Amino acid sequence: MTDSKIAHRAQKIESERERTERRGIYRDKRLERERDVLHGEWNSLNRISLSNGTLPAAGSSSGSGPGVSLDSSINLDQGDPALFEEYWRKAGERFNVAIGGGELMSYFSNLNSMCWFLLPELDVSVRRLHRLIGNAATEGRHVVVGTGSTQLLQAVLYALSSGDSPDQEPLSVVCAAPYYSCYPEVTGILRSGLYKWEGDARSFDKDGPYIELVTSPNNPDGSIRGPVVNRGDGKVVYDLAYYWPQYTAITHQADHDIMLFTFSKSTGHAGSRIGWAILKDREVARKMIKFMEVTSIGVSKEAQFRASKILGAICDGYESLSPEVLPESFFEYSKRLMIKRWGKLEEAVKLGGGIFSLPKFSREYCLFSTEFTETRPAFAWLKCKEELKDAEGLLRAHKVLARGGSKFGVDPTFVRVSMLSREDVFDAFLERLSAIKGGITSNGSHA
Amino acid sequence: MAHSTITSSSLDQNEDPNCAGQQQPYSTITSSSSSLDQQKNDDPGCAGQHPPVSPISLDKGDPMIFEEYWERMGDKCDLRIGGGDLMSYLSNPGGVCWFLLPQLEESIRRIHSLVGNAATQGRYIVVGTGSSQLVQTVLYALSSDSPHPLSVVCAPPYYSCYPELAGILKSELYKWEGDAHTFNKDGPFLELVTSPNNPDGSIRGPVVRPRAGGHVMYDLAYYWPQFTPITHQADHDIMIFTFSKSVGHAGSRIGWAIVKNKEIAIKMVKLIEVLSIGVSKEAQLRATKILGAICDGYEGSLAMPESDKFFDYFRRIMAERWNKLREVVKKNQVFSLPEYQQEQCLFSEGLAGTHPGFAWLKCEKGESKDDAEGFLKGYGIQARGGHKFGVDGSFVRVSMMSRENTFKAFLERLSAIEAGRDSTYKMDVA
Repeated sequence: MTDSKIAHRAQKIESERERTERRGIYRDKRLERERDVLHGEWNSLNRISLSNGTLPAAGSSSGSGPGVSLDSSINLDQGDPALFEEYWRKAGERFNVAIGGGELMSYFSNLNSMCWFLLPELDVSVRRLHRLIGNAATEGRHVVVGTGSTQLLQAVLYALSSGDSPDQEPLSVVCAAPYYSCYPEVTGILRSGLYKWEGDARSFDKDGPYIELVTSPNNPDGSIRGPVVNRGDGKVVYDLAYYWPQYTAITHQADHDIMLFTFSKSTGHAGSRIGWAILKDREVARKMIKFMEVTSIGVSKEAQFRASKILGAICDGYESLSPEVLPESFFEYSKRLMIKRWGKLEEAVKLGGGIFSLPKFSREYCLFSTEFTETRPAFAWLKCKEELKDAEGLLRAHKVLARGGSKFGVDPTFVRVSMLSREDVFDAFLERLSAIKGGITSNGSHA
Repeated sequence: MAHSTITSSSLDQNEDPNCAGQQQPYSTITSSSSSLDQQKNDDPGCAGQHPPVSPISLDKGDPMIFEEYWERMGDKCDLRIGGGDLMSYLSNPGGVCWFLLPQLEESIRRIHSLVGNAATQGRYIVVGTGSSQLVQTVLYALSSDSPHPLSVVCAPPYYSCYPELAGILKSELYKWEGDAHTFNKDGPFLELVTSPNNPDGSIRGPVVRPRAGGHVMYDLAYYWPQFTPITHQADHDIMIFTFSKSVGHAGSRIGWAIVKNKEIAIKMVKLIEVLSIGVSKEAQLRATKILGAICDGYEGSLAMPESDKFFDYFRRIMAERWNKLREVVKKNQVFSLPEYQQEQCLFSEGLAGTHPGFAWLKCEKGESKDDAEGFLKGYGIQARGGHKFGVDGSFVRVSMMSRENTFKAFLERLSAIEAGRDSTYKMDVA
C-alpha cells in the first residue's frame, strides 16, 4: 500500500471513529464491532506506515491517530523533511516509478564510465538540474553518487587523505563552528589513521595539510559561508546540501573543486539515501569511487533510478509547455512554504518577549527566481537569553526535542530546531514556543 | 595484496564486486576498445558475434544468471513507487533498527522460515547497504568499546575483499591479521567464516580455538538451496546474508544481519546511522517484493509448479552448469575442481549437492601452472587468481553466475585448452 493511500485511509478511519464515538456507539453492538475493526485496521496501518513517517513523530505517545497529542514531545531534533511530502503525494504520475522484477539487477550501471555504479540516467538528471537551477557548475566535471552525502563525505576524506606514504600523519579535518553536528562523528567513529577531527576551523593552528569542510548555507545557523583557514596546504570541501532556491538565493553558480549535494534536502526524499558529488579532479573522483566500491559496492540502483526520474521530471516541468505541468513547480512551492513558516516563527519568537532570538539572514538577488530573496534555512538556530543557559533543556521542558549548541561546537544557549516537520507538528511547536514566557513553563513551573 | 598491472583488457577487473578492493585505476573508454566488447559479453544473444579476441569477464560475481527468471515473472514483482512515498529517514522509530522497513523484516523472517537456513526467532535483524557495509558494522560493534584493537582473521582461501574492508581506513579499532590458521595474537579477535566459502565452495567452521575475547561472524551469502544443501538451521550469534546472491538483485545493495545480542545489534545500527543514515528505502521495498514473491511461489494460493519455484529452478540450473563444467575439465586434464559431498537437504527433503557460485579451478600442469589467471587470460577468460584469496597462483576463481550465453562461451573457450588448440581464442597476455 503506498504511503498516500495509507495516509488517506488513516484519515478516513479517524473521521469514522470520531463519527461513531459522537453517536455513542457503545450501546450498539454492530457499531462497536465496526469500531473494533477500524481500530484494528488503524493499528496495522500504524505498523506499516511508520515506514514513511506519516504518523506521529518519534517519541510521541499518541496512539489514537495522526496528529500531535498534548502529552507527547515533538521531535524536531532531526531534519526529516516531512514538509515536502504533501507536494510529492499530489505531484502526479510523472513522478512515479515502476521497476520490473528483472530490472536493475546487475552490480554495474555503466561499464563505460569511471563511476561504474552511477546510473547514466541519474548522471544526466543531476547535470540537467544544476543547469536549470544554476547553483553548481557541472561541465567537464565528474559526478559520483553516494548513499547520501554522508557516505560521500567519508569518501572525500578517504580520497584526500589516502596518500602513497604509509607513515603520513592523519590529515586534520576542521570546520568553523557552529558546524554540522554529524561531522565530528562521521570523521571519528572508526578512528581512522588517515584523518582526524580537529574541531573549530577558526582556532585551527596545526601544521601540515588539512581538510576544511564548508557548509553553505550552513547547518545549523543558515549563514552563507566560505573557508576560514585559507592556507595553501589545505583542501576545501563544500557541502551545498541547502544551496537550493527554497532555502536561499542562488547568487552564483558554485564552482569549487569538491561539492556535495543531497537528494534529501533538495527535494525532500530523505529515505532514498542518495547524494552526489561534483568533482573537478579525476584522481579525487577515482578514489571516492574506490571507497564506495569497497564499503558498499556502489549505491542502490532503485534509489538512483527514482532520483533520476524525480529530478528529471522536475526539469521537464520547467522546460516543457505541456498541459500536465503542475500549477506550481516544486521549488516555487517549497520556497513559499519556507517563507510562510519563517514568518510564523519570527512572529512567535517576537511574542516570546526576548526569551529567544534568531539570526539575521542575508537578502540577495536570486538568479533562479529572479527576485530578492532572504535565506530561510531548513533549521531554526535559536539562541536563548544568557541567564537561561540551556536552550535545549528549556525546550525539552516544554516538550520540544531539539539539538543543543554544544553538539555544534558552540555554547548551550543555542539550539537547532527543524523547520521541515509536518504542518501540525510545526504548529504545535509554535504553540509550545509561545508558551515559554518569562521563563515559566507551560505547566506553570519555572524553567 | 599486490595489484596486478593495468592492461586495456583488464579494465573489467576493476568491476569485480566481490573483490572491489583489488581495483586498479580506471582507464577511460578511449584507452580500451575492449571495454565495449566487455559490455557485449554480458548482453544476451551476443555470444559468438563479437570478435574472438575479446575476453569474457568471469572474475566478477555479477549474478546475471537470475535475470531471465525475474524477467519472466512479469508483474508479480513489479515495484511501483509514488512521488510522495518513502520520503522519511525513518522506517521504524520504535525498533532497534529504526531504518529497517517493517515489511522487509517480515519478508526476511519469512524466507528464512521457508528455507530453514537460519534461525531468526527472537533475534535482531539489521539491514545494510549490501553485506559489505554489514561486515564493517560487525567490526565496529565488536571493537568500539574495547581498549585493544580487534584482530580480524579468516582461513584462506578467503573472500578477497575482507582484507581491504578491514584495512581501508586504517582504523585503530580493528586490524586485518590474515590467516586464521596461523593466528596466535593475544587480545580480542574476530574470525570471519564464509560457508559455503567464497572462493572454493567448501563448507566451513571456525578454526581459531575459542577463547575469551573471541568472536565469530558467519557470512552465509551462499547458504541457499541453489548453491548447497540446507543441512541445518544456522544458529550463530552473528550471521550475514545478501540479497545479491540469494536472489540475484545485486544492484539493490541490500544485505541483512541476524544478530542474537541486542547490544551488538544496537552498535551495528549506530554505525550505519553515522555512515549513511540508514539504507535506501526503495531498495528495501524492492527486496520485500522479491523475497515475498519467492515465498508466495512456495506457499498458499500463489504457489507455482515445482519446476518454476525459485530455489528448485536454480538448483537445477546450477547443477546442470556444474555437470557441464566438470565434463570439460575432466576432458582437458589441465585443471582440477574441488569435490563436494552430497548431503541431506532439509529444504528439498532429499540428497543434494553443492554447486557453488564460483568455480575454484586449480591448474595442474603446463608451463603456466603457477599463474592460472594468466593462463586463462590467454584463452580469453578473465578470472581472479589465487593470490588475491591468500593462496598460490595455481588457483583461479571463475564465476558460475553469468548469463547463459556467457557461460556457454566460457565452456567453449575452456574446451579449447583441451586439445592444446590455440585457434581463435588464444591471445597475447598483455
